[in-house]
Amino acid sequence: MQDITRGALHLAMQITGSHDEAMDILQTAVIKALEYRHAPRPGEDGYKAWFYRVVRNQAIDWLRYEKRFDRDAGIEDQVVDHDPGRHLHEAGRKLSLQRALKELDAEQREIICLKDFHDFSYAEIADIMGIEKGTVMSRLHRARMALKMKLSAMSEFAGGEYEM
Amino acid sequence: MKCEEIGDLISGYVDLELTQQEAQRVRLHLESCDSCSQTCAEIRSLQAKMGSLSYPATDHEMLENMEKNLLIRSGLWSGWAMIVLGVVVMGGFGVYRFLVDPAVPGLVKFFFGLLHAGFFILFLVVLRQRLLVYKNDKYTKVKL
Repeated sequence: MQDITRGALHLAMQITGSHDEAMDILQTAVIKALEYRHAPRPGEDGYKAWFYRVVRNQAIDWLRYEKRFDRDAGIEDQVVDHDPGRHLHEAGRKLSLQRALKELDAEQREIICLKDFHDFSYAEIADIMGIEKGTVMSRLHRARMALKMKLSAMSEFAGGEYEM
Repeated sequence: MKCEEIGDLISGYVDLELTQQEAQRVRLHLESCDSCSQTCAEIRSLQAKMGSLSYPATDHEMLENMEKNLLIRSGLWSGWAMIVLGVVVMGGFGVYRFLVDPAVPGLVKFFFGLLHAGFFILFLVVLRQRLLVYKNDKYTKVKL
């Protein structure tokens, strides 16, 4: 259960860009998970996707409420490099990725994180985001292409320092 | 298969989400198209980078305590259900015994009924008011 809770916390951080807000969102989601009678119980099939959906919806609500769906939110301050001295180049690449992610809109950032960070299947992503499974692939591909373009633009700006 | 047709399928191919037939078509195209092959490699590279992102370690104990504390809440439903059931059954039985008791005068029973009807009506009015406020309160989500 800890892996799911921690993963959901990361998702909330990725969407909101705020650790404190992510903790609040997680807490609310856990309360919902335990108080909502029809929710799948921890360990049951579908619990993980259901829990992530609750966290995702809470985070999106928060973003809408804060009226910064497309601007302030980001993950820049959340990602850490444990050994930046020894892996300076790697740290630079991570930093450019964080910045590029931050520049995407929330939906694109979310779908990339769900697939490439949290490793959900398309069916699970559709379930979490409340969209048709058939549209996951096209949205994900568009998001990846957008991320790629952002990274390329950054690479050009930095003289190829952060190439893909 | 042309590059325009392959589009989103490259992501599905990388994620192993295509049917065997689709995957075969994409594979054949990739073998003959440098541009799409490069896109495919870039997506794989992005995936690897995304997977390597790390986040500040969240206090393990704090997460555990939160789950433990909140797990106690799961008992709330059964606890409340038991209390409500007990009150309804015992209360109903008591009222029934009171109403059928021949030793109690009819007038007392009448005023007893009146008193409880009054409480019940008050309860419904307050409940309705609270529900209306809850439904229409635009500040519900405001965190203080």
